[in-house]
Amino acid sequence: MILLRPLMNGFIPFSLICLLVTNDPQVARGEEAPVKAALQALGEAFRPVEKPQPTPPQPRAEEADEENRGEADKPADDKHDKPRAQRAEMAVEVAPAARPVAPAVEAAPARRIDLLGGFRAVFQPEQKKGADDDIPPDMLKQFMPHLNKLLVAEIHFLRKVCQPDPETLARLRQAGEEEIVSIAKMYARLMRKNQHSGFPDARELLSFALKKKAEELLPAAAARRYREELTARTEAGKQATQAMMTVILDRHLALTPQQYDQVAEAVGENWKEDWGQNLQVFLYDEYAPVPGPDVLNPLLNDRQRELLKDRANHGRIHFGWEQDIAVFNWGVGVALEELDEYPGEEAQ
Amino acid sequence: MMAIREHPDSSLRTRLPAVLVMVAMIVSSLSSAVAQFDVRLAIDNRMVNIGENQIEQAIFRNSRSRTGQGLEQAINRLELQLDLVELIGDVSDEQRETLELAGWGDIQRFFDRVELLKRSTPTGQVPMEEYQQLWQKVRPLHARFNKGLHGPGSLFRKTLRTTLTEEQGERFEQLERDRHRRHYDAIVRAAVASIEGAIPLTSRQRTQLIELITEKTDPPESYGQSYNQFRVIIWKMSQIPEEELKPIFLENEWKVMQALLQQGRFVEQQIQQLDELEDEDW
Repeated sequence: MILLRPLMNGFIPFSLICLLVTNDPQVARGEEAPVKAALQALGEAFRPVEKPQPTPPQPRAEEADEENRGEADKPADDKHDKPRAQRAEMAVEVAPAARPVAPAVEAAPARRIDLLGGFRAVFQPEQKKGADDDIPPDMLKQFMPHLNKLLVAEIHFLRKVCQPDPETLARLRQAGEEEIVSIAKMYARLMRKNQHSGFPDARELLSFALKKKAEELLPAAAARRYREELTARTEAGKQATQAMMTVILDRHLALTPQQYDQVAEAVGENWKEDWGQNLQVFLYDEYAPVPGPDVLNPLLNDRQRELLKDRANHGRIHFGWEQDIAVFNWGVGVALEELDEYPGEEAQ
Repeated sequence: MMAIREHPDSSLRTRLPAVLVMVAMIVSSLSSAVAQFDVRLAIDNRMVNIGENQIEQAIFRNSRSRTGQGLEQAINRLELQLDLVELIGDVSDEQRETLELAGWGDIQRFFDRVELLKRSTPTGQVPMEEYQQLWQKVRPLHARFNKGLHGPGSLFRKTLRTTLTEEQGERFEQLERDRHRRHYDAIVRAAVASIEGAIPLTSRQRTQLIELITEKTDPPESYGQSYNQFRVIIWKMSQIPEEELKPIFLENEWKVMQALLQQGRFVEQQIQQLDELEDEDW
């Protein structure tokens, strides 16, 4: 607005602006047609950034195969366990579908706006669909140290549970490496769209990819063990989140023991996936999500309802995707490394 | 100038004066705007606006705080505390009235402090330094209100000991112990889930670790600030003998765990310092 003020105050003649934008001396002389063109060019140059055109999410090759196999052929827990992160990615793609989007603006107006200084950053024209395929490797570098550590931790987990032979391990590792690059690209795309928080959970995406590969490569018993362990881990995280949520409500509402159990149950029954993205949020009462009054009020007395209504809630906070994967959360400076050999299940 | 004369696009020569004038005007407007912006920034850096309701909002940390809302919350909490005491059974009206009076004493004491702070705080533009000093005074009040006005150290708790019969007192203490234990167990589960970010555990490891922590350690008297809760569990874990803890982990996992436990050993000291500071402020 500071930059626009001289224009709005009429300090700079309109014809000069038109001249600068259109590059046409006729405009400066006030001829009608070029002025119209100038106005159009100005309109396009100052058009706010549009969201990319929506496209239906394209399933990856193995997912397409999965779909072709039909529901009945899928592993029992697969119908419900498509990772939250993957659903979130689809949501990112699908969300703008509500209204039609104007065709992409060509790059030319932005080049001219360059003459006016830093406007380009604000009035950046829409990026064409598919432009994110050429994400420069430098942009991916920022994500790789954490994602590599995450891969080490998840491969360690897989080896601990399944003890794959070296050849199978190499193929599983390769699948993991491909997945973390794919995650890094997804994060880079989101950052390009100016999204800097609420990224899909990398751990969930990676373990989903490893699970798919494990189903393909490992003996059925080992693959089942891995699947069960992943499910148990997710369930444990969910239970921990529900327990913390109940503690926060108890501290605030002084629940009776009977109410405590009822609230814990209600939290479980009304579970929302995004509540469990990062447990750290429950260390800050005022930011912790809790179920709405429609869920809790029937379990509370009038005083507790009043207190719940007045509970300070500053909305959700995001700690960043690095904190969400929690590889370095404790700040101890020591990260997990793989063992050369993993003991068998019985030895563990 | 030679370069311009030789330029094949003759329109550039006709437009050049206009462009130069415009650039000059933009530069001059910009410099003036930037100068104004600088002055505004400088003012903003030194002065902060304090609204009438701001002290209450800062203490009760609710952007929707209205005058009296904190007091309503405090009264509701006292009534809920009294309801909890009644769960032990056989609480006479006289006992309840005595406890209620003590609870009101805590509320009165707290809101006297709030009122004192409000009166001594000017509204309107204040220097940043003064604002920061004010914040130092608000912090312990906020912490006290958040923890509850009728917790350990309060008049309510002291009166509870002298008002309830021995049997009632034991029942109430049991009720409180159970409550703390429920909280502790929940925080242990959450802390273990958080550790799993660095050390992914199998179901068996997870179960063994949670059972070991909950069996071998007791809930702390205080968690300090709420953001310390998981670190308190690490501190508690550091008290478990190594020969019991180590067998749960693989060799590489134990290395990370050791580093974590090392960190936990400092937590107790930090929490004590925080509690002492808060008590001094109070």
